[in-house]
Amino acid sequence: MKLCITATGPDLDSVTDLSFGRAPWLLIVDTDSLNVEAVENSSAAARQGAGIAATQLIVDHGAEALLTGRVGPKARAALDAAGVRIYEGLAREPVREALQRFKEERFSGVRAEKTASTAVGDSRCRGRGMGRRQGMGQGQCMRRGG
Amino acid sequence: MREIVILSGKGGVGKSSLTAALGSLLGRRHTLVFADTDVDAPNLHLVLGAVPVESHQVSVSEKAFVEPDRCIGCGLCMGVCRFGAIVGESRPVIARYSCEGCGACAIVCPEEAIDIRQVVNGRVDIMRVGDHRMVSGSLGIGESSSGRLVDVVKRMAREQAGEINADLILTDGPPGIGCPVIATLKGAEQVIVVTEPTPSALSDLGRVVEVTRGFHLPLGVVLNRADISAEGRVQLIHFLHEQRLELLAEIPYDPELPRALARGELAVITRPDADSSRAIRQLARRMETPGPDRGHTGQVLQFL
Repeated sequence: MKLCITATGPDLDSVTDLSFGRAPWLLIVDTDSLNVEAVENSSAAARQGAGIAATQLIVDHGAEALLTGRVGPKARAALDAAGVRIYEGLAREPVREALQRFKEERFSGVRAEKTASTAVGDSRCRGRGMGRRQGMGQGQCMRRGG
Repeated sequence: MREIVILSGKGGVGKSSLTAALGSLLGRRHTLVFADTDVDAPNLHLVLGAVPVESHQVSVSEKAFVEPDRCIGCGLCMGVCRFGAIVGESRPVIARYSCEGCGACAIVCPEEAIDIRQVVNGRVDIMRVGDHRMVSGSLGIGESSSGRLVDVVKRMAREQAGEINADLILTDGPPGIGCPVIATLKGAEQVIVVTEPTPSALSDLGRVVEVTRGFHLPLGVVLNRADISAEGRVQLIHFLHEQRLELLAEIPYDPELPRALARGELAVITRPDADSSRAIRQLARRMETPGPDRGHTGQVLQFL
């Protein structure tokens, strides 16, 4: 399977990045052969729409699943629409170790940690949150193996 | 007992606020001594609401003094002063703020009319913050030897830590990379550098990282106001990746934070559910985990 891991550098020894749309590197890892394709996230510094652009980018590179810290509501919708399976709860660690834990299925069924931006309607100035998005059935996809 | 120093390079990125926030969290289970070595503009005590206990005058600077009765007005001293600190026509007058106390004038004076004496150049205050202590240094206006004053602050902080059997000395350092920063780094075990995603903060971060590396100290970076610039954040992450530096925490910008500070509150206490408070709490938890912390970059960090 082709898994996208969000990273701060272009190889398996790099440290993970916990954001999806804002991660400088998107590593497309073949979980069987361990081949890595490092995709520079051209939209990491974009003012808006970074999550959606990153979704497009990883889909173009054939990613079937995404392993990251947490996914925002817009990116989640885009990933769902593209049928990319989402694994959240990535920690800051070398990509290699995250991949190892992934292969041990330590991320399977992991739900997103309840974080303030989704748990609290603290959107007065930032216009960031769409509010509560828990319980949307993450990990379910509309089509598989696509 | 551990010694953790918080620096930033650039001023105003949240050094004292983070020190206070971390201190208030770590102080729940540990006994702390806070040290403020920003002797040019000490203010951690205000953020913490520290209560003064005692104050000491510190004389770790030297200056030349002329004994007028013995001076014969030969002018040799004026000739050797490299700082232009000796003025006057027939009789030497020491310009106090220019004198570095190097003693060249005293050496050349044939009449031994010049004395090099220690002068008061600052103050060290001992304070109380609940069951914790705080040691804060203030350099006298126009005075020199800020580094030596920092040495005194650190020595007294260690004495206080011994008295109350503290687990940790948490030092709020000065901005920049000058004397007081270097003195602050002496004897530290772990450095946390606070930065923000702006070009100036990133530039200053590079300089303070280089200085800290010179001391071979483990170093971790906290990105404050992490979400104010996506571009700045990407640049910072590239820098951290190249330098193999640990990103300890990303604290999102929260306009309530300065408001809380203005009221003399710590948001991490009064607004525990804020994103920023969560990020700081996560860092404090990591720091409290016993034993050496093998960072994700492979370097071993020395927290509690």
